[in-house]
Amino acid sequence: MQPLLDIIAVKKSFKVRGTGVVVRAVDGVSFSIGRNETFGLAGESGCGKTTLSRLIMGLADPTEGTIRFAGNDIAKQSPQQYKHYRRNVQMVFQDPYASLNPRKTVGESLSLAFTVHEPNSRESIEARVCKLLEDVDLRPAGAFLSRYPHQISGGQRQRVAIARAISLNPQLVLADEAVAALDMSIRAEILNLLKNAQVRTGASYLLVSHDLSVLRNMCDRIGIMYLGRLVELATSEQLFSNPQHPYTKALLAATLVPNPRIERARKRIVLAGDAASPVGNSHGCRFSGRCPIAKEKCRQTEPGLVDMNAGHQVACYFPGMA
Amino acid sequence: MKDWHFLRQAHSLWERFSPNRLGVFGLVILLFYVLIALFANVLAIYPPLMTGSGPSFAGLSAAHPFGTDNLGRDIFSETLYGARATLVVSFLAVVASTVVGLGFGAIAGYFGGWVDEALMRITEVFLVIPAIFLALVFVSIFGGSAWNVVGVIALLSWPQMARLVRAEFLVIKEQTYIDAARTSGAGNLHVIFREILPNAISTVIVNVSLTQASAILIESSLSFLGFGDPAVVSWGLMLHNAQKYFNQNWLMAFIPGLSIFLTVLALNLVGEGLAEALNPRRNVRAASLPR
Amino acid sequence: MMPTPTDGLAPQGTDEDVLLRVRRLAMHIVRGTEVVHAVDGVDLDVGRRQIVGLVGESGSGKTMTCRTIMGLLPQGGTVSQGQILFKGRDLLQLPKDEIRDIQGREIGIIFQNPSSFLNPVMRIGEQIVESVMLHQGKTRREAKQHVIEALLKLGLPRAKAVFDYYPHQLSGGMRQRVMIAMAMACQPDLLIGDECTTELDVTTQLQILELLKESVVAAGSSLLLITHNLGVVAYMCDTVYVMYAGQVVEAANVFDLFDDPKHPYTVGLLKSTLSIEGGNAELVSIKGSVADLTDPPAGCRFHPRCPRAMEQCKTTMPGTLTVGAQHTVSCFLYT
Repeated sequence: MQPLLDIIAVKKSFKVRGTGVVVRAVDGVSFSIGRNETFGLAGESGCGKTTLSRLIMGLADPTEGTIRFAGNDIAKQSPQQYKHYRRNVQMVFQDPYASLNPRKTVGESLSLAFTVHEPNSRESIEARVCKLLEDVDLRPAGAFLSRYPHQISGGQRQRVAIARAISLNPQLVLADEAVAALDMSIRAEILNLLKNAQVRTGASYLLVSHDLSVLRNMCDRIGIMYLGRLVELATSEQLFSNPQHPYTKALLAATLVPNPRIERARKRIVLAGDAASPVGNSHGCRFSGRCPIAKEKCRQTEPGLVDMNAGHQVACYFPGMA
Repeated sequence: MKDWHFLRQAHSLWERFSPNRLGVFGLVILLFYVLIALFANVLAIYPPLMTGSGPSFAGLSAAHPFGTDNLGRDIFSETLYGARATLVVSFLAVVASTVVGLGFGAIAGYFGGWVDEALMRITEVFLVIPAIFLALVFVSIFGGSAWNVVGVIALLSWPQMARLVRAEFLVIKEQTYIDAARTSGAGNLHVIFREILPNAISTVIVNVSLTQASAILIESSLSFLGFGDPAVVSWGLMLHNAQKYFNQNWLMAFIPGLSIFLTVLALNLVGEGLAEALNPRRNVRAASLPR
Repeated sequence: MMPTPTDGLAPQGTDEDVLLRVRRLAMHIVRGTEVVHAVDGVDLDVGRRQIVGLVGESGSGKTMTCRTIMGLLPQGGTVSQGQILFKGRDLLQLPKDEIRDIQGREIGIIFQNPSSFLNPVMRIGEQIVESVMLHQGKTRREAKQHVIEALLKLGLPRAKAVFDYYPHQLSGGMRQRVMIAMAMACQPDLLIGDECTTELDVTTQLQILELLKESVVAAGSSLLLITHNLGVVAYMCDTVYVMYAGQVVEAANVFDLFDDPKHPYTVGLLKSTLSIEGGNAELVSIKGSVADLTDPPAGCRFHPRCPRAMEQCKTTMPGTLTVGAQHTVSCFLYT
């Protein structure tokens, strides 16, 4: 069965203007997402997940490697394939305010996709937008049509952003930190909305987040990124019950649980230093600088992603030892 | 969905503009002069440039509220007709320069790269030319007429608009909602006109007001120096004529000078009022409560 | 145990023993024609050597409460009633220069965004040294020494080099450490952290929280943490105050709050908070949206969203009741 999205050895580098310094934001990432699957991509700032999102959305081109959607290399598509790709790969952005044009009403923002992709449908655009608003629980739909982004709350704006993303029933929805800017009590609502939309449409989701507690409830499989590479790739169950990579363990230990009895009894893993910047030419494991169990071997050669068992992949010479 | 949009926006703009007393004051003055210009032929006592309507340097009277000039022209009527020329010439120039400036700025800002470089170099050429020099060249090649004045002013004003628009486009095109529009399938034309431009328009509007003020000043200066059209009354021309006769009837210079001052002031006040009113930061309402 | 009406969390001592005692604090902000009731009757106690959490979502009033305590009112903000007793003295009654003195020496704050607090054109070391010289009366040389030691202790190993850096040369985590250094420079009795780890990565957040804990314990100070993150609260705090719509709806020691939350808002908040311990169960949320502080609902502010609202709740504001040792709640369900 052909995967819906196939990321093959993708790299993306940026040259910092004036200094000649090269930032390797994405440094060799490979994974695939199947149909009706929810994949989580986790990592902290500088790990490259946002850059990777932009590459998948076609907002930038990879320096190396290939991204395939429904079998086609997205960098080399015919106009027809491109149209199909544009229509079927949609994104929910992080900042609910910044992702809506402040000078357009909700109705206008939501009409765009219909105007571009289905201009000849019999149903009026207004009717379709209303139905869309109802699907994301923004009622009464008519009232929201003429509202501007600054007139609605953050949670409501995010619903509009989701409505925009799912309006044409895309096969892949990318949500980049979709709930990070929202209050705790609203996050659950929004995630439920995404879940229900998936059940209805059978779409695949790629959820990008720095917060593992957001991914816990939603994902089938999760990839952990560090400095441009995947360091662990596993099913949700495998990752949370049996993390292997030292960074994954540190990340989990730092994701505080809202329960004092549990939280204060957990093992403390406090990493030294900050995430090193993705610049420079080190040959060894990029985590070795902060790793609590780094050995000489780690500093010499970078470990590749190796399948341990049942699809649980780790990039570490000493998995499970931290 | 589109009905009443424009009216609603205009109304809300007025709501934000009206508390600014100085801005409203400026607007009133502006409207005053616009009305004068519109109804000059009704309000004036004598037709424009009519010499000998009265004795030279006549004193103030009902027939000549501001007296007459050296050739017996009624200063009051001249001022009224002068308003027309000054406002129309400057307005036409502003329209032209805005259209050209918008075009250059939008394309340069949106596409970047070598397009941006090329367009900006052209813009810089015009920025650097001194006004008088350009006027001189123009007049010597094309002769001195009102249309040429419009041309000169337009040529001098468009670069600033271009730079402003370019700066706005550079910033706005990086916004997330532009990415969102692209992923929805919007093409370049849609993004430029329906996504970016509405967000840049407030800066443009403010600049139009300020450009108009400067256009009036340029027009007056050019006419004053003799590069304007001697057949068309304008305040600058009146000042040009008034140079030698300050002692005989100081109102010859004062009235047009005052008018120039007031309209330029009014436009600046309105421009600043608009800038305040259109400032998005003041638009923060229910959506973001304090924590 | 019969709940008894009380004013504030059970007093732990006289006004002098309790480091910070806030009573009936109310602050409103006038914006044009609107009045935002940002803080509406808040009681808060911070004892010596305690770590207290003030938790709430946006619009809860937690940041405004913190700002009011620090005297950093927003434009148009006025304190309409209440007392802020710091070591027995009411900060709202003191003359400006005394307040500034207390704020500089005895209370330190760490803000959410260190970039807005640090002068971008001044070297890091200089900024801290100035503060130390002013408040501790040291000479420049002494102050510099003091600062470098402090930076070392805070986990900035190349402290001498960092001393000469500009803020933009440091990462977010490092800048936050500098903020802590500045705040702790004068050994304050009370340290206030206003969402100070919200913008950091989780691994960095953990480092900073550990650092805060160590610094505060070593100096014998108290820490008031303002946050929306229940995980941070669970990890750090001894006592917790939960705020909604400008009021404290529940206060308890941390174990009691999470084991046995009383107020329906607290219950809803805990249930809807995501956790890595959670399974694939349906996520629960609190229906409705945050109360509008310019036009708050009559009676209990939470009643429009409360699954257990009664008739009383719509008309009358519930008082504060004690429901356990050091556990108070503001809800009619417990009368």
